Amino acid sequence: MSRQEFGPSTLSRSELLAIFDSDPCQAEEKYIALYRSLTRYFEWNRKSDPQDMAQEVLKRGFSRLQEGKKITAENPAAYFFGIARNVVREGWKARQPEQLADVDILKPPSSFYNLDPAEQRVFLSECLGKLPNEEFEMLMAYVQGEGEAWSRKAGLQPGALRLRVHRIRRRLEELASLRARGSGRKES
Amino acid sequence: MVEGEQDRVATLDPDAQIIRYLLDEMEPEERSLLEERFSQEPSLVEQVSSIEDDLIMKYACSRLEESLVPRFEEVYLQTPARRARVDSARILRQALDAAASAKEQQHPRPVLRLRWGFALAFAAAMIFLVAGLLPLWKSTPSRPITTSGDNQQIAFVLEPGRVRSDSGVQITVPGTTREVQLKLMWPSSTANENYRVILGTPERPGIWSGATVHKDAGVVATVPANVLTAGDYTLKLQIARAGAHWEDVANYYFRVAKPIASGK
Repeated sequence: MSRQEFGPSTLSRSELLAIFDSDPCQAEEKYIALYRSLTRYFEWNRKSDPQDMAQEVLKRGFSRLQEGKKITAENPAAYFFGIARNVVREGWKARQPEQLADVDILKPPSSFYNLDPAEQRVFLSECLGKLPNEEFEMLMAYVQGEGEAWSRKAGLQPGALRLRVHRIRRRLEELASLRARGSGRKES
Repeated sequence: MVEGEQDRVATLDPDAQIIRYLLDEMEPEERSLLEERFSQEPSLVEQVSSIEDDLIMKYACSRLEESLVPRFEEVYLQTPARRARVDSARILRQALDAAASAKEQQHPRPVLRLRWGFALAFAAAMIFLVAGLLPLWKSTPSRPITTSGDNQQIAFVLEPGRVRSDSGVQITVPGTTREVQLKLMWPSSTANENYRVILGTPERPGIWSGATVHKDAGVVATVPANVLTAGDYTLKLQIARAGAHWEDVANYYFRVAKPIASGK
């Protein structure tokens, strides 16, 4: 990261991400999770450029931090969702590709959904093979429509199963994206 | 939002409320109230995401409640980002099938403990067997390519045809069957295309419709057995085109014969 991109007295990437967690690895994960959540939020609002909008939210939030503002919300994600609502209200649209250039330093990795279907299949298959048996069987039961029976057997509420499956899928997608990046695939 | 409206929203089933949000069926005020909660409790976003994944997976596996399908298709198949999620759910399902088969081959387990792995490996083996015997099928009533042990799920292969007489096959659906998987041979299909089927009879052209899953040289439609009473059926395969348009690509004809009494 180059400090001059945010002006002379800017915070570094790790200093900025520290708002999410004091542990740098956890902070990075929470940052990426926030980006994914913001992207979904804009999809739910039927926006055609949800990833650009999510980046705009992050850019605004981090710019305010650079200006010395403090986040008072207990969970920083709440602060960014407040900005996201404003972005929707404003009807924000990405005008120029270079408009987002100044947040390249904080740009989250490209999403699993940017991979083409054949790549998704290959990388997912590799990552599925590494899932613990219990998680694999849970996912399989869920996809086969046997989730309810599986939850009863495991003593889980259906909502809890759904959340566990969602987290496994998110993890799989992150792993598959990482493998895609590791294989030298140039992401869009 | 007025107090009465807040009370009304608070008493609704949260899952149903979130589904209405995802399917764009909320009034602006109700929607705004829910979105306001995202900035108060960010964990709600994860809950909504998990319900969205569930909705999409049910659609991709043809298990989505029929009343939700038209609205789902209207909302989810029209924006590229949401459509990508639908495609990815299909891909995950295919990848899971493949991984289950691979696991089964690497670590065969005792017969009584086999569940999904066995079913999938068996299904794959039967598909290859059927592919080899395909030329013989035309002259005989179609036999299922797979059946679950209790006949709850049964699968057949259908080939496209221009008229009923050149491609129609006869299938028998046991009374205990819950789902009939119809593998529609359509070699030009690819995993990143969206297909759906419309099932009809000469008297009722649209008795059921549902999404398909890409598989090998075709697509698979899972039809609830209770819609398949004895009679002649046409299954119309359609592909999603730009601008919310579905284009007919093939027809499949079959006859459901009355099941032979088992004597049980």
